[in-house]
Amino acid sequence: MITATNKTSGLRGIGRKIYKQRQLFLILAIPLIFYLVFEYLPMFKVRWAFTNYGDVPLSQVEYIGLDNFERLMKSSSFWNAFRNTIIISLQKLIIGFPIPIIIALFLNEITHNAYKKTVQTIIYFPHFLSWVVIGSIWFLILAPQNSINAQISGFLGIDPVYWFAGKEYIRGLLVMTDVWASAGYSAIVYLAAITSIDPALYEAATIDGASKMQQIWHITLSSIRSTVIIMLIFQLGKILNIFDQVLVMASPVVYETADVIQTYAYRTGISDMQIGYSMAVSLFKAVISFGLVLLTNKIAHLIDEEGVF
Amino acid sequence: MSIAIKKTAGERAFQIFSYIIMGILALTVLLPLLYILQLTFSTSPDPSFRILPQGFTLDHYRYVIENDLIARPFLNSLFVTSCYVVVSMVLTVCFAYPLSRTELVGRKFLNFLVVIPMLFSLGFLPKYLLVKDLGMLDSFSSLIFPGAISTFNLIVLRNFLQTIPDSLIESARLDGCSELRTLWSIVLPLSTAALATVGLFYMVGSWNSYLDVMLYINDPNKHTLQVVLRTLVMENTMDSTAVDTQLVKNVQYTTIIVALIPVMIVYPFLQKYFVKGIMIGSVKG
Repeated sequence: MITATNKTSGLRGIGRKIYKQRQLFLILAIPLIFYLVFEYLPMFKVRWAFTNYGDVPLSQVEYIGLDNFERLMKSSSFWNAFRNTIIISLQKLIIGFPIPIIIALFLNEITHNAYKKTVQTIIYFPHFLSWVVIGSIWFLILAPQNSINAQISGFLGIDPVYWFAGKEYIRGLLVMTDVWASAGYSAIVYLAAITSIDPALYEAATIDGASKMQQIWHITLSSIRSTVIIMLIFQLGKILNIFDQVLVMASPVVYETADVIQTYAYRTGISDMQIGYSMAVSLFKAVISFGLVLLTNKIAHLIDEEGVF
Repeated sequence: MSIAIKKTAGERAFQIFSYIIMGILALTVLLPLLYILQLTFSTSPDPSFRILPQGFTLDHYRYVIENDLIARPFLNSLFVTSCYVVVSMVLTVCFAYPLSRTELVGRKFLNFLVVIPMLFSLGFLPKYLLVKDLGMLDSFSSLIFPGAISTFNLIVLRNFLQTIPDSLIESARLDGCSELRTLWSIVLPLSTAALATVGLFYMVGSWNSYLDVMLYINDPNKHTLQVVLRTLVMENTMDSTAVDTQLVKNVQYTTIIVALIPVMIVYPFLQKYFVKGIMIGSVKG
């Protein structure tokens, strides 16, 4: 009834509604302004991508069209960073994505509650550690001298490898530490989905003579499919955004194989102050990343629809 | 579980295998942490693999605490994190509550406004330029305000508040409660789990942050523990002839542990709430 009268009075109705909700809007005002200032105002800075800001002081800045993007397309450092980003992300995806699912499957088999709880408590702890702490721990363990690395090498009678300084090893280290830090955390998300499966399904399957593997495949995995897809979308959305870990763990010695788009943008924009060019890099990344999110979302929708019917 | 079904030998074997493999997994996470931890108490400089200290001393901790190079960044981190959590919580609650009310005019548009920055992420540079324009560089305020509202935490809290029945809020209004009063004495007491989750996420996030400090802070007196730890461990050139290598090593190990103590303290609480938090967060609103 109320909505009907509001509809007839149009704008005034909305005005009256807003007046009625003035207290809610007052509460909302400050955080909203905050959000607009720090999340939306920066978007206007994107215009620098089309200027020569950084090559010349601010007073002489001119619009130069797409020159920065042209320069970016021709830059071998940019393409190197682009290639590294894709390679590292794909390695993380291929190795790091299935592991939490497998962990959740094993964890689900454990019926001893205290054991299960202890394992869980331990394996998702590293998720809350900073990259600096994680990087430091592995840096010291894998250091070429005064380390476990040196101890093992001595035992094997070989020269210790300086893993963090080896451009052929750094990607592996990034993937390994990422899995070490985050697999346990992702696993509980899957485990939560697995625990909500109706046990009657397994009982029925057992009576029908389904093997353990058949049960895992047809009941467990197919029941958590939507969770898997959501997690996959999150992962794909992050593909071009890997940053903090590389910034912390990769030194200039290994840039050839570990420099990623974001660290490249950081170096050109913050260290070299080539604002215009670095902004072009950031914009390029944002557009592709956004496209990727939309695309994966679309694909997930298609798969889900197929699953529903 | 209601019907006891006899397990086949294969199932039995699979289960035993699960126990073993999960045990190994837990050890791969635990052992590196224990190894570093025992070194901070060891009197012996021997870096070979152990999980119990050789001898026992608190000297490394004493040295680190008394050393201004680490004590000061530690206090900076503590100060920034405390302020950040308070500011973030106030802003996030005041943002999430109106958004969670279905009757709010323009709710759809506002929700859209909230999600866009998460989908279209321009990275650090535009925000850096803004912070610079606002004259916040080299001040702690740059570590507190620009990142105060996390979109993810906002959505987690909003989705939780949506589950509070409208009738409850309606009846408070009929009793003459103002919105702020309703929020404070009806809504918030019902949301302690969600508030704890979001608060702890903010806390850990701020304590662990590295990039913001690298971007916004140049003044070494204002550096936080994470930045100092990274320099200490990963940029130390280790000229063994010039400095006391062992002392440097001990300081490195100990600072790592000092940097994770606050996380360790809140971890039991985190654990209690965050599974719930993930589940709330994953429900699309």
